Amino acid sequence: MLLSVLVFVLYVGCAAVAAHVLRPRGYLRLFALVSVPCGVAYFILYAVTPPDLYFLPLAWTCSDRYFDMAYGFVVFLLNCHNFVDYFFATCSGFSVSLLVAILNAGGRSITTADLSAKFKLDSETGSGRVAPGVGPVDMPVTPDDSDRIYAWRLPFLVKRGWIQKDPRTEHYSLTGTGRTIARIVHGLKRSMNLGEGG
Amino acid sequence: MKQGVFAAVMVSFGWIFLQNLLMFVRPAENRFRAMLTGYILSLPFVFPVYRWMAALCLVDAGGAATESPYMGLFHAYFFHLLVFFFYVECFYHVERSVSLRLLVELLKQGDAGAPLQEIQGRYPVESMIQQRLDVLRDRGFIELRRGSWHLRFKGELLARVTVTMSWLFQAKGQHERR
Repeated sequence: MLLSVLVFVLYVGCAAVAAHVLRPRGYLRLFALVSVPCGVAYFILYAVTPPDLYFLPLAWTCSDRYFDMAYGFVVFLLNCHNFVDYFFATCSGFSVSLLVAILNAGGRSITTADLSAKFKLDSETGSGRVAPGVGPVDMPVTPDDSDRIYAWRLPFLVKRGWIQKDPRTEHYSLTGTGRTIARIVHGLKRSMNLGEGG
Repeated sequence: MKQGVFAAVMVSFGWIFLQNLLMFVRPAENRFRAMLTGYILSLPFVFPVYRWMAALCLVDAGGAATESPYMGLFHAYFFHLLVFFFYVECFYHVERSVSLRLLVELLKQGDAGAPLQEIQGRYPVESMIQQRLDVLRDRGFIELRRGSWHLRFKGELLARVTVTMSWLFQAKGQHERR
């Protein structure tokens, strides 16, 4: 488990360095890519180090080496999930974006209408928008895509293959994958007695 | 260690199942507080489950005689905590995700789907913002003074941590995206 924590710290450091060097558009991909060599590094480190890591008492080590290795890897994955989730909840989170927008106002008056305006886009045409966590969404922006919530999200969901846009009627509908995900989410929401949420 | 990990999994599944069942009987307004309460109330059960598993030999503990029982207990509580974090995160993915809400909205529309305007009309950005501002105010992150929003200590701390994280990873918030 100590190795797992050590590799996790390495993972966060590598992800930060990679973000500065690569300036990624897709953070989820970056985090996933960085986790692969770190996961491999964990297994290599585990194989080349003794169970006691040269300093642990025997009673503190796990007697089942394979279980210990698997457990450490699960702990690494859970820590990565914690970290990535915390990253997206803060840096990409809607609620936290509101807090940052209020902070950036620097004590000046900021009303609900001002905050709503910050999430509006001017009508424009063009391409090259970015879906947070995933990357560029090179689809045309229509004047209807008037806010920062739907403007990237719908093309992003189309790009992922979860929804599709009928070019004739301009209606958005679910693909097979999207329908499966929607049904699972709907079922989970019902099983947890949640409202519509979002 | 095995006993600790399995005890953590068993207690975690137990309290999560009971908590979700309870939400049908008496839904909590603050779900995070309900989850935290569930976790804290489950803590005293980790130790007896760990002990019972050892006594009943429910887990193959071959070679475990050399292991310190305290380490097993440490792993039980540590893994129990990690499962709690994982559950809370998964809960918020399901509950708060705008993308997933969009998919559910489209599911309700059936095969015909819906145009952008209708989707926006059913779940407008203004109501998303208002809903979140209300939650942030209720949770003590912000306050409304003379029609203007101001950060409270908790909110300012979180906003500053986020600004630092955003700098560290060169990320942009939702209000800065196009």
